[in-house]
Amino acid sequence: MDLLSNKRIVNLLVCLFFTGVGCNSVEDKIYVNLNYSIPCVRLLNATHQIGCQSSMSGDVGVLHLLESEENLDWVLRSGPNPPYIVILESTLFTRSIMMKLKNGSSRVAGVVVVAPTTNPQEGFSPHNTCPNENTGVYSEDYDPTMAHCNVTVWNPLGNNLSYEEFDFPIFSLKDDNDTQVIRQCYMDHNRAANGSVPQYPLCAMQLFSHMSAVTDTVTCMRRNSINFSINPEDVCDPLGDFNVWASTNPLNNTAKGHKTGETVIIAAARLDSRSFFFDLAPGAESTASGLVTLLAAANALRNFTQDNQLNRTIFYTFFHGETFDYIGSSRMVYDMEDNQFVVDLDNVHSVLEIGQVGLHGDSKLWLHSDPVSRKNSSINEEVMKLINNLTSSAKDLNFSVEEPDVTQPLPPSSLQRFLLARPIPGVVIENHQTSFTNRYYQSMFDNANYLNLSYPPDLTPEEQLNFVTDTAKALTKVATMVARTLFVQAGGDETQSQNIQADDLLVSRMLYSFLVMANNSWLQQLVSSEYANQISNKTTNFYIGVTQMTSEPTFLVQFLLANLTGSTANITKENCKNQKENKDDTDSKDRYSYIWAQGAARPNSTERDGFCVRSTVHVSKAVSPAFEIKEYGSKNYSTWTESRWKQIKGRIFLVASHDLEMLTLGVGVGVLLTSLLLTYFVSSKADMLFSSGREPANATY
Amino acid sequence: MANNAEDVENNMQDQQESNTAPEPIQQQQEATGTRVRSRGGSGPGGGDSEDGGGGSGSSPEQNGQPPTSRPSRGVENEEDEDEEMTLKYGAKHVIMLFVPVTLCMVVVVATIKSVSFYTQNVGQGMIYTPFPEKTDTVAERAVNSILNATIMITVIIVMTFVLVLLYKYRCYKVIHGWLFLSSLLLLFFFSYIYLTEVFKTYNVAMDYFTLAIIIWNFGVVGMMCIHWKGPLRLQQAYLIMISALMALVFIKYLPEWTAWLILVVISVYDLLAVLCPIGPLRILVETAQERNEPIFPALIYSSTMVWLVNMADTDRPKRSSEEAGSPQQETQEAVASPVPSSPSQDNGGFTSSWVRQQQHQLGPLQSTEETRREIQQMPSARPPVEDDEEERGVKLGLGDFIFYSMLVGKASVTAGGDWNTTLACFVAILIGLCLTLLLLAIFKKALPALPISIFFGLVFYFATGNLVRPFMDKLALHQFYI
Amino acid sequence: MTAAVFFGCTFIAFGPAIALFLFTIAREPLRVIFLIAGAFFWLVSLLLASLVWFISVQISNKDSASQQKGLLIFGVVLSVLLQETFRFAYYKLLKKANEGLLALSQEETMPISIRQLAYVSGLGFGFMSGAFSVVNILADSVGPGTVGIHGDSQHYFLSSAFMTMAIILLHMFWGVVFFDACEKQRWWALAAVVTSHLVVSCLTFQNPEYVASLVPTYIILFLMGVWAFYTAGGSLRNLKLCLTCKDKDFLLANHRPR
Repeated sequence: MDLLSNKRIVNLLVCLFFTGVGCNSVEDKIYVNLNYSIPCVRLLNATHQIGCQSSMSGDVGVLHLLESEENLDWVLRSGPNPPYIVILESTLFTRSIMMKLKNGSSRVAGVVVVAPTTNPQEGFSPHNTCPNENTGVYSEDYDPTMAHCNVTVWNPLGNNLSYEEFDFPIFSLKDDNDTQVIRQCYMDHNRAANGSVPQYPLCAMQLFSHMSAVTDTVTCMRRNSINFSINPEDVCDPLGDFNVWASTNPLNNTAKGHKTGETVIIAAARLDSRSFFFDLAPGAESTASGLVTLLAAANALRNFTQDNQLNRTIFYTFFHGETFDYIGSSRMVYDMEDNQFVVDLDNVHSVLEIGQVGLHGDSKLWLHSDPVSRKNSSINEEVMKLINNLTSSAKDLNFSVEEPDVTQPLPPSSLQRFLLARPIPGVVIENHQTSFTNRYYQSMFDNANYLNLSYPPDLTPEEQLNFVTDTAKALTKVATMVARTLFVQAGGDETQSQNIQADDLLVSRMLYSFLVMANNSWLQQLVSSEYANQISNKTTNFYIGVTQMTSEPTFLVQFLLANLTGSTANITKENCKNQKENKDDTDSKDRYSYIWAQGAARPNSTERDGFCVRSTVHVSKAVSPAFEIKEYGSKNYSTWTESRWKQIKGRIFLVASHDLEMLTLGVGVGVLLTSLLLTYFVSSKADMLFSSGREPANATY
Repeated sequence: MANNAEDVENNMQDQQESNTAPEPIQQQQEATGTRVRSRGGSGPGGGDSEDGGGGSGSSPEQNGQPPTSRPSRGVENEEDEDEEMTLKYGAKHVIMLFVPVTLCMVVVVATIKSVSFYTQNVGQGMIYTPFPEKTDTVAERAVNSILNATIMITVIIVMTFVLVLLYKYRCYKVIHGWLFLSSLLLLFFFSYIYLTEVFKTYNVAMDYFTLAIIIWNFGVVGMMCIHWKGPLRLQQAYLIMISALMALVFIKYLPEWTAWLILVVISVYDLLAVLCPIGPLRILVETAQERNEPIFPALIYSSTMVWLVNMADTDRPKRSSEEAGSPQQETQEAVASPVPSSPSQDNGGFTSSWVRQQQHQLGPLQSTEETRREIQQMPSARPPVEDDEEERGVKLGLGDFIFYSMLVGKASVTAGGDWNTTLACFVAILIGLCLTLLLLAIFKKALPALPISIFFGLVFYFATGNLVRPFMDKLALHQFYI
Repeated sequence: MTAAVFFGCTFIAFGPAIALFLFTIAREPLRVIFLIAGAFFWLVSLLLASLVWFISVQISNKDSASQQKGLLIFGVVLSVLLQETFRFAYYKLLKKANEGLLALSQEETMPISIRQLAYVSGLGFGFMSGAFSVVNILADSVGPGTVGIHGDSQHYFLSSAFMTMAIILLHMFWGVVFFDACEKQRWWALAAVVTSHLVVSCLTFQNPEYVASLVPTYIILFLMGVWAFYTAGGSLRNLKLCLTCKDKDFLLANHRPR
């Protein structure tokens, strides 16, 4: 009892000492805050602004649950209590409805989209139909017949919603208990019974997502650089991150520019994706499939590419920001041309890019190449060689690859930026012959479900991590094919290449990490301790984000690539962290990079057995060259920036009728005037009124 | 209690002291004998009539007293008469101080509640508070804040003594110059920051030309009003505004625990400096009295205009320097304060060039703090009064305004939008001020204005925030009334 | 609920108090000081009551809702009793101060009478009590929402404002009656004041049954007002004379013997 009372006294003193940050209970009676809400934010490029904007003090609107497209009439015309905030179930989140809401925006205060648990059957892609149309290689100068997707519309399901500008906030909510509360509030208060007008008080919502930047990148970058203010506030930030690359042959990274005698085969994949809403980019088929395939291929080649056995160096590259007008690849090409990269374009022999390779149903992959550059016979020869390599590797693996039509241009891929610089032989592996087969390209539905990443029920996360899914098996085959092709392309022996095999458990674990849960025991072993806390507990978000914030895929791929292509080195932790082999070593850091990985946790302990990984993994900046040369209105480079904002939140509450408010004000003013008159009357007649019983000459009033 | 001059030093190192000069009262007592007949009347510009026809239109003497009794007092001795007058006019002067203090607090609280700039955390505060408060453990934070407060108070003490020395060696020109410069900086620089932040909060687009014109006019009129002459109300308004600006700067740049500790320490220091025989303020006051000089009235808010209309010209410059004294010190302090030394990556604020520029300015400013200290410690001496108007006013140092407003402003920063704490601190400070003035009337000597008010304010801040708020919150939840 | 509701509720809650302050207190500095001192005394009483309540909550079982509500009721009752105690303490202080002032100034009359002090102190208590009860609610009423999403009554703001107005006026009347009772040693009147304060507070336990709590409160307000009127020296005859504008004659008549 003594201990308890002591504890209570301490508790009391501690409570007395700290000022409480308690919530206001009256505020709790009024508002219900939305816990999980994802906004759509404003992005700007050289000429336009896209995305959503709310007013500075939040947009308030009466809730309306949209039942069908015809019901829009209530919102846009006949509803008696505008403005409305429209709640859309995901089936109604279509272009036609959104455009109608956009046009009637004086009566629309915001839109809330309820994200479903299953993907919509008919497909949904808010991206545009011709991705990266103006920054690819196909322009009027290169080949007018192929410019602007004249030959093939790559994303036919694209409804261009992501590139529209809305002047009301649009939020996305999960279909959980909070959303049920909102629906219940609507049902209780806003539902008109059989044609009658709904009575006040009505259920309403307020959404805050005020964006600071306006007009376009040129304007907002100019506003960033105003120096007169004491507290300068940036209004937008360029999108950017890092490209991750590794080479089979260690290259001297500090010596930039041309490397004589080096021939490099670039094996490329993209690192990023996007969706309509901010920071939500599952990117399963568009990004993760290619990424995982390349990582697995790199791992498969590890044992076969050591000791400089091959003539050519394989350069594994992961480009970030490809969704937004090829940020990463344009920057790398720019650096190569500017002699700021470890190799330059003369060193590049060919490019093999892995695009969307998630296999659905028929196990067939398509090898796209650029017909215009292939008009040159030497380029054509190299491309043919590459394609033959791929075909023969695929044959042994029991699935087929084919070339699409000769006149088919390249799909949107990093290879296009290389071709812009000079003709280079290259092939892009995709799972579609003409248009994308991905029905959810760059949308929030491009997730594990779409890739059919299914686990048997009742598995613990640990068991799921070690379970090899069918999707993984399919991707493993693709990875093996890529690895064998790269081996042969780099000068390896074809018979030896039969021994190269990608690990399907590895592929499955990587798919689990990227698409189901990143924070798992396997991945925790491979990363360093500083980053271990930053791994999220949900699916990896592939959105590139702004330059100042490194996105999760960047460092995950960095650690994965290091562990999968590098080797364990017997170096002390201190030397490892200082990028040295031993105390006197000074030049290993030019060619290798050292990572101290956490290692596995000892049983029944939080201690880990770390180890040093020596690899050739490096990062290079992936910020658009437009921001380097300060040409913010550039037509050649990506100029995408993301606006800054102060707060993003939403809450629901009841609103009273305007008449009641005015009545309250009227009553108040009346009370005030009455009391003023009465008091004036009483105080002026006070002598008289309170005269009886007055003490003589003592008290006055 | 009629005329008390409390000189408060407003120093960016939070030097502060307030004392009340006994001379005006003595002078009043002397003058009483010659002025008994005219006291009842309201001379032009006299203190009594200054308060805008205060009371219910009748002169204060008639409060509760039948008008017939006064002539009989003509034969009483001066002492009693003086005390009675003191008591009668005491209340009016308390109110004459309540109104500006309240206004200053209202401005600070309104700004804090609406402009988020002043509640944002700056990575590194002023260079006078180098120890960061974002530490892992509570003990470390406590130690850091104690160190910060110690540094501040040490700087203040050193500055005070240097100021005393400066005054002893009659370096008046230096003091004048620096005062001028600091008020210049305050009126232009800080009001510019304030205006831009208000514009940012309300998303108002403003071009540089209009802004320049507004700031220029504001600043120049302010300099004129404060250092030269101008309408009384305008001067008072400017003094209130610059006190509010300074308080806002303190609220922004002092880390949390350091700020509270500094308030405590400053009050204690004020007490010691004014009352102890070796206290620098006391020495200053005595020196000024020995020389019978008009001291630079540092940052003093005056409720009456010192009408030296009939005086010779030689008095004018003195008077203007007296009135000019106060704001400049403040500005000097103010200038030094916002020196965020390290530009952190995520606050898009101060570039290193700006910081270097500030530190460059800080160097020469350091000496001004001394002068400020000295000036603020000097009670305002009045030239020998020949007319009776100037006795009727009451003075309070601007440093008092600043620390009161800083306390109330910090009380309103608390999360949850709790207004009870702000109200409680406001009432506590007013009562403290009232008690201080009452003690002044009883003891008739220089007294510090900070300790009682700050003590009450702090007690009520912590008590209301931790005890009363949960109670009132629960009551509001159930809608119980007490 | 927007600015209209904010201003409406503020005027309702503080309208009479502001009017009283403007017309009777603002011009007299001494009255202002005693008003603020009264507010201070109320604040100290609230502080002590909160301290006791806080300690009792810390040593109690935090999970039991009924126990917490019981403690809250205990807190309310304690707070009411402490308020009245401090009102008595303020009375004693004012008496001493007045006597001191009188002795010092060798005057026949005091600068301010006990009756005025009673009124001013009561209003001070009322101001502070009303402000603490309603200012946070007013701050919340500026937002776009109104109370009710969890099922509470929608008339929360209005009823709070009316209740506050009643409380402020009640404090003023209680002050007048209280001081008079202390002057004339009528302890039963004292007890009646304390009892009525307790009754009013306990009536609020019935919220959100606003009819059940507001109507009796206003009845008590009216009764206390009448009592205070009579205590302060008013009478029905004076009132009639005032209303029929025969006051001037009356005044002249009254002044002639002087």
